[in-house]
Amino acid sequence: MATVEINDVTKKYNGIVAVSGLSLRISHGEFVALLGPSGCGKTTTLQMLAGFIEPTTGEILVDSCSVRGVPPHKRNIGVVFQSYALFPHLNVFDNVGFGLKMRGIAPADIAKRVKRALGIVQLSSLDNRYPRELSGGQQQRVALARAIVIEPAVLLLDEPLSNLDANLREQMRFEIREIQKRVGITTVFVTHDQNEAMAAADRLVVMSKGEIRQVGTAQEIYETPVDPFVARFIGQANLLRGKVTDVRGDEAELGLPSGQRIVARNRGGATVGQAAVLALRPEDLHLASQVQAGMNNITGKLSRLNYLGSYINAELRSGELSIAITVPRGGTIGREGEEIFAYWPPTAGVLLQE
Amino acid sequence: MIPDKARHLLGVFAVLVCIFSVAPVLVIVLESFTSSDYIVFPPPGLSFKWYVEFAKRPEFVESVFISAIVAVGASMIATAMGTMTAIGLVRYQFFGHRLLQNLFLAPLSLPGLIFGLALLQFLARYGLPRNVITMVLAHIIITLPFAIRFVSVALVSVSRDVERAAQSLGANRLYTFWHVTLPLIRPGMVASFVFTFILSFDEVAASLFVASPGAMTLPVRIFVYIDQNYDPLVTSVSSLLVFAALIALVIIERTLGVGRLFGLR
Repeated sequence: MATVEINDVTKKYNGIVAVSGLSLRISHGEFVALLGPSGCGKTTTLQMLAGFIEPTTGEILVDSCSVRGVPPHKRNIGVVFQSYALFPHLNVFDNVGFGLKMRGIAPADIAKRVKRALGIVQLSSLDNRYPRELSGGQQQRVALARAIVIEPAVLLLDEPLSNLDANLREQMRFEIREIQKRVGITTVFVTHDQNEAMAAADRLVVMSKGEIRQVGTAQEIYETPVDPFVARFIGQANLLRGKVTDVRGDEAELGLPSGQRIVARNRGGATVGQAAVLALRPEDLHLASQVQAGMNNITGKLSRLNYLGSYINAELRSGELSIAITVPRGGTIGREGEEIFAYWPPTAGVLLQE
Repeated sequence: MIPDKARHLLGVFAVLVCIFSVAPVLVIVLESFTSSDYIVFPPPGLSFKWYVEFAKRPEFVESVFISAIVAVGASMIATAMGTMTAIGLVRYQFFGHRLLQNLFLAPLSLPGLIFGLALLQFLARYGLPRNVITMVLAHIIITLPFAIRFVSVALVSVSRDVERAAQSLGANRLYTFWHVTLPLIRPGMVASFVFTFILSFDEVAASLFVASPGAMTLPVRIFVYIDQNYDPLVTSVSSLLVFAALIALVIIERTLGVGRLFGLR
């Protein structure tokens, strides 16, 4: 277990910036997910933590000690790769025991600890198999056992679930979370899948173009995204762009291009005349056949209805705008092609500055 | 799907190709058992006399040993050098990477005769002897591009993440190489060894220039002999090589599998 501190780290490849001015503190036993689209610098960050590449500038501290210049084999880290990277010529036992052997542990102890690690990932009795004889999910667990058996200071997971099928992925997500809590290793998890990150991690770090956009719990990021990118990347968001026309107390009035005015909670301290965006989650909106008093209302044509079992996805077209609405089963929906109102309370959504 | 008729024709074609490539060898082997004093097919009678004749010719027996020594030496050194070169070329990016790659593969496009002539001039110019060692050096230069190819192909298929995983688990670079990379590229190295051995054992063009009475490989010996004589001795010598190759093939098939050796399976 360890704390990890990333201080103003930048990585450039031949002048191209992969990570720029990144700073992050991860505490003892914390599970942090680096989340972002491909090319956002999350894997580069992970590789710098592992020591496979060195930052161009800035510093990484593990337990307050700089690891600059320390090669990977001296860092005491466990890495689970996207490809699992098991040793094809070694059986499961030797794969998991590899790191212990490197630490000069007695064979009897190695056997004991490998057995325990395989028990944790529920793979006892497979020690004699070779990686090619295992399913993807089993290989993934072996990779995890191999990484945690050495009791690393930091566990790094590089998209470990992306090669599994959907059902297994969901199951492994919770298992990884549970194993991580049980053994209490400081963990950094890289993924481009927001559901994975939200289900597994204590804190999410949303990245884009080599920079951190927002750090927070899943709830904080979903409910109060700091900018339109985060709002769109985590979950679905309707972005209503406009200009602030009035500010009254903690409420701001936003003038949409259509001329319509809507009211929203003014968290960010927007001032009159400023360009702003209201980010609304599809479930913040409701449908009605007439204008609802005290609410923001938008009228439009129901252009699409998708029945998805527990809820229904609706799309409302209002001029240039296309608004996604999630209606719970049994709620008012109307018919496709019908003129209808979408409404939401002024307290819903987040007013963001462009 | 291939229609049945076409499939049959394809089968006939495959058999013809096999006959085409094996028939000359078969003819030589049959001729070697002739009782006549000249090369003729089919042989008028059968005898082992030309095998007995071979055993009575010490210079041929000596050439077999020289060829074997040269081939073993050249293939081992070429494979070792090829492995190191392949690691550099496959695993590292550096200035002049492309240039070096082309340089290492350049001997492939050089005709053996021209290379042999150049080597002969070089040796004469600096007063270097033409012996087994220079023969081995010549064969290393000829076979090295193949060794680099074989090991590179094996190395490309070893994921970098596997090496990184070993490092993250506490293995330094040297240990990672010996215990992770090397076992995984071993089939490529064995293939390189076998192929460069055969190549070296077979080499005539460049060897003609480097050979001397004290260092004459078997193909050169046959070449020189056939220039003066035309008797079935060369067929018995050639047949012995065919038998040796067959035994080698059987051993490889039993231990490694020929297909796996060349990455077909």
